[in-house]
Amino acid sequence: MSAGSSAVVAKARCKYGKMLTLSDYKLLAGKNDISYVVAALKTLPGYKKYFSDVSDNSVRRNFAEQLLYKWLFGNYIELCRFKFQKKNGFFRYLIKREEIAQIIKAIMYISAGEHENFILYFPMFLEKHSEVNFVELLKARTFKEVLATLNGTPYYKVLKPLLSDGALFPEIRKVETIMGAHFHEWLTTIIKKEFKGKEREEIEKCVLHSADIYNMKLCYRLKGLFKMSNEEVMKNHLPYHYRFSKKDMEKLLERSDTESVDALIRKHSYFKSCKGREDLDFESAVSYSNLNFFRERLMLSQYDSVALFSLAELMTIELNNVTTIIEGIRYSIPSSEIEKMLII
Amino acid sequence: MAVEKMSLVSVSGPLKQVNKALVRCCETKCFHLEPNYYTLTYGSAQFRTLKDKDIYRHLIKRAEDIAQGLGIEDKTVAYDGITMETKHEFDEYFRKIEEEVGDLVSVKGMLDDSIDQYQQALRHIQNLSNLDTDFKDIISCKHVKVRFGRMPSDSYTKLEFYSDKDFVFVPLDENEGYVWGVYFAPIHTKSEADDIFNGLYFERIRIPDYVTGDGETALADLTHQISQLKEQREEVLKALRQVKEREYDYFLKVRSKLRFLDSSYEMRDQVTVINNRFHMAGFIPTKKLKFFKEALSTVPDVEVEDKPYFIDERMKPPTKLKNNWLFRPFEMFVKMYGLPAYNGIDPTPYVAITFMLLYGIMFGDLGQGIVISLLGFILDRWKKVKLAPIMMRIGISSAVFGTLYGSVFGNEELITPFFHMEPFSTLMGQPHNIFQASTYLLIAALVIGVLLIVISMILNITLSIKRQDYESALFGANGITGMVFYVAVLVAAALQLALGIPMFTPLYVVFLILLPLGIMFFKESLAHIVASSVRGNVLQIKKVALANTALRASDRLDEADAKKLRKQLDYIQSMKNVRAVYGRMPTEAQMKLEYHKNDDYAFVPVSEKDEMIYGVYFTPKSSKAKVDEIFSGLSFERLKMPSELANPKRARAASKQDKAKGVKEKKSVGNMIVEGFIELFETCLSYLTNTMSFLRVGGFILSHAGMMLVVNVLAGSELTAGSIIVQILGNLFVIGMEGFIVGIQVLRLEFYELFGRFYVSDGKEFTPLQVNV
Repeated sequence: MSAGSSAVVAKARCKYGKMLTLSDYKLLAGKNDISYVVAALKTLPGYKKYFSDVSDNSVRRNFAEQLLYKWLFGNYIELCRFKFQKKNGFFRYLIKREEIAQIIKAIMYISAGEHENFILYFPMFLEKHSEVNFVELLKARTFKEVLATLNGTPYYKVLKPLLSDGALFPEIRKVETIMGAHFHEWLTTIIKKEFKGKEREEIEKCVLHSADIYNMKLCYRLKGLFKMSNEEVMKNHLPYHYRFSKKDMEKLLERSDTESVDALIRKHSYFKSCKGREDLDFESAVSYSNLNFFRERLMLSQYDSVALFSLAELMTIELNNVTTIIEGIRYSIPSSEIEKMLII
Repeated sequence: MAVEKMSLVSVSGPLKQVNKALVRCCETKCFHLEPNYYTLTYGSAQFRTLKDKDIYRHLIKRAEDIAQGLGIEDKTVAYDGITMETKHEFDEYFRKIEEEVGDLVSVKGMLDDSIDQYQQALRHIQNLSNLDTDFKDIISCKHVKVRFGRMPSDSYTKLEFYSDKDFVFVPLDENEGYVWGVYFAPIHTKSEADDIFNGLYFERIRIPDYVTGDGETALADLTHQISQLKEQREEVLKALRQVKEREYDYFLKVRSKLRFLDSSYEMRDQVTVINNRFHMAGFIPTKKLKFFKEALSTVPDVEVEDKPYFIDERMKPPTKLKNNWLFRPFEMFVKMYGLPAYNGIDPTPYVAITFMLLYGIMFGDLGQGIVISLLGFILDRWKKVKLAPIMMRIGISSAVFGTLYGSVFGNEELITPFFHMEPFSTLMGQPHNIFQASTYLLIAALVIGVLLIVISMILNITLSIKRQDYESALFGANGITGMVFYVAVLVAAALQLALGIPMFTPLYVVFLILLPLGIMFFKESLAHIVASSVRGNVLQIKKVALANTALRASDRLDEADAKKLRKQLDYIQSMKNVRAVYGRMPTEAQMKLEYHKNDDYAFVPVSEKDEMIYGVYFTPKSSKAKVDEIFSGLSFERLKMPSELANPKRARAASKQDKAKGVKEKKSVGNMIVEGFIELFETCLSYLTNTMSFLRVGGFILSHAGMMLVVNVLAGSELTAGSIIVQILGNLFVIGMEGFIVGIQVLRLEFYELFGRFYVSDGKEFTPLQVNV
């Protein structure tokens, strides 16, 4: 543990302390217009900085969501400043995660001929933290052009095998799988390189937890919803396991329908905290399990890497919650129903 | 150890006088209102509460508006000399001011709005000041649509992806994450451009008509107009200031009085009303009874009736502690723990004496004690801190004990300490300093502890007997048995260890140690036997049905009356749902019952005391409302039905049940032995730990001496500027830290070791009716 480490952990916990409470969520969900939600966010200590200059009346849903992304990034990067960072080191974790998400989105939108929408919704602030030239990527109209803009980045090598003469764009599921695998491979490699001892053990646990969750979602979606063959699912899964072992996975794949897949997954120890919450759908149950896991990590760990990783995950859950509230208000869902959809 | 004696009074009068009566009650600051008194004693059916509209709210609003217009701050002052009482008088006063300042205030409001608008436009134009063309020329373009506004800087970067579109964006300024500017689009592609800019979160700004010229000129114009408006406002403010100066003091007083009246008016919902008359009942300190009656006598037609005793146990009188100047500040600690019941005992003097004594012993220093006292004096005069008077007293105690220890700011050479004087010096083995006398100090601390514990036990025995809690008084750990055991063990141990007298003889052990232990072991069973015999005596006489019991219990009926009454009762009881109400009424009121002899009720007088008849009236539920009204009119006060009258059968059954329970408990011998053993073990352990707990008293004497020794070593023996600074800082540190810790430790001893033994805090605080404005 470095000398500055405990300070970063303390700062991360302090940021967690400023995150929304149950009463804050109730307050936000009780509003009947997005402008009121933004006005309320302006008064909350964690959000004040990012929403203070926005005029309540003219703000729109997309803009509010972009500001929420800015909030997530701003907080993460603020904490990273206290760490001595190697280029392309572990602490780029959140940036890398978002780079990958935006590349996948770019391919998805461009392949659907919706590149203008991608331009509109793209968070430009990512550009200055990223090694990907997003300005050029936004101009791309074919997969080849996308690849060309990624040349010189690790993503070029990853995506190049998907370039085929026949199709203009690769299947989006394949892009997701290959990028997901790349992200986890990068994480595990960088962890082995940068950390040792107890810290490595703890941060590995966090990453493997994420891999487990990824594999569970994969089984649920590909097997349960898309009825894919076991071989196909196994081909797409991440070769990293923690508590959701390969054996568990094979057992799960023996099931044929969504209900039985869902029922078996929920018996897993990851979902202990969801006992008695049968009302939660699978995706919410996963987020709920993540919430408990990372909350515990942030509270108990003494390592900055674990604290930052956990905080980023918890903030992502909060971002999704606020987005849910905004969406709920947009579709005039009663506040009591919105509250049920929140992961708190 | 006293609790202020209380009197129960009722205030009643015509409804139109209720406000005045409430105001007077508030002004006396000694009337503890019991809003539930009448519903408890007479039932709720015939009473109503006042829940009408607040008549002062509108006037308050007008006063606030005037205050805002004149710039008078929100302050409450004493309203001496203000004779205004009625709504009309206030209305008249406010109307005069409103007539004078109404126009000025509305002009000021308009000017404020205009200034706000111009300032907002100025803020916008400041960001567009780089525009070198007239705003009017741009806005009046016919074939090109123009939109002024701002967009996030991130969105501005995205504009390069729309270079092929038919619009031009001219950035004029960039600040706070936004780019300010204007976009132009041909009229036929206006919608597309608007969509794109909407998507890029462009916020449009409307340029007001009065903005003309290019950016710089518009800015200068706006600034000039704002300054002109401000000048006009200044003139209006000057006129308002003149009115404010003239009216300031009087207005504050009037508003304060209005607030007082409004708040007292809000208390109307605690007043009970019947037959267009209001009734309030509550407690006042008996010594203020005359003063209270005099104060209320100024309100016409209002009667104050003194009710000399309280008979209904549901009407608990509040507790107001009464102590002399020396002990009074320590009431704070008693209130922290909880107030005693009205008929309980006020432990304040005991707390005050023991607190001062223990603090002085533990933190004895002449110089530091005087400093604490002075600090307390300053805080009391300057800030009115509640703890300050306590600091003054414990500081003096500390100084007294400091003189005994010979310690002045830690210096032990200026005064001869008691352990250097005869006979203490010889007795304690001629110690050179206090550390060498440590054994004696610790023994003395234990002796003090034992004495205080024994005193607390005696208090517990006295109070428990008063409460009829025989288990605690006779067989409890802090009762007679516990005290015998505790004292016997300590005396025997002390004599055997100190003087070598063999005390633990078989007889001594059996009678003074084992027997008390045995009694404590079987305390529940023994207490049950005692309680049953006491209750048994009471229950002996309650064996018949209520009516018969009441008739039999009555000492006021001759045979003829009883016969007549029994007939009446038979008639009522033949009906369904008969209701019985127990209570009392003035003796002369009973005569008036004659006037209502045709109504469906029967009154059975049970006893007479202090010109009051106690009895039960029976009525079928169908006539309940009417009969209740009759009895209320005769000042019948409803009381809780005595259990012996209420249900003699149940009382008998309860007695039987108690007996059966006793048998049942006896049967579970295993449980009783295990519980008894654990409790006994805990009791013995607590005797030991509680006594040892007082060792801290001696420990702190040594700790204080040790800390001051460190300060003296750090300061050095030579008198230099540095040593003086170290001495001052060291002494301040010791006063601050140790003084505080000793205070907490003494409080802990008080609450845990002493209060826990005897004190039951089940009183309610005396809270006189007053208005918070």
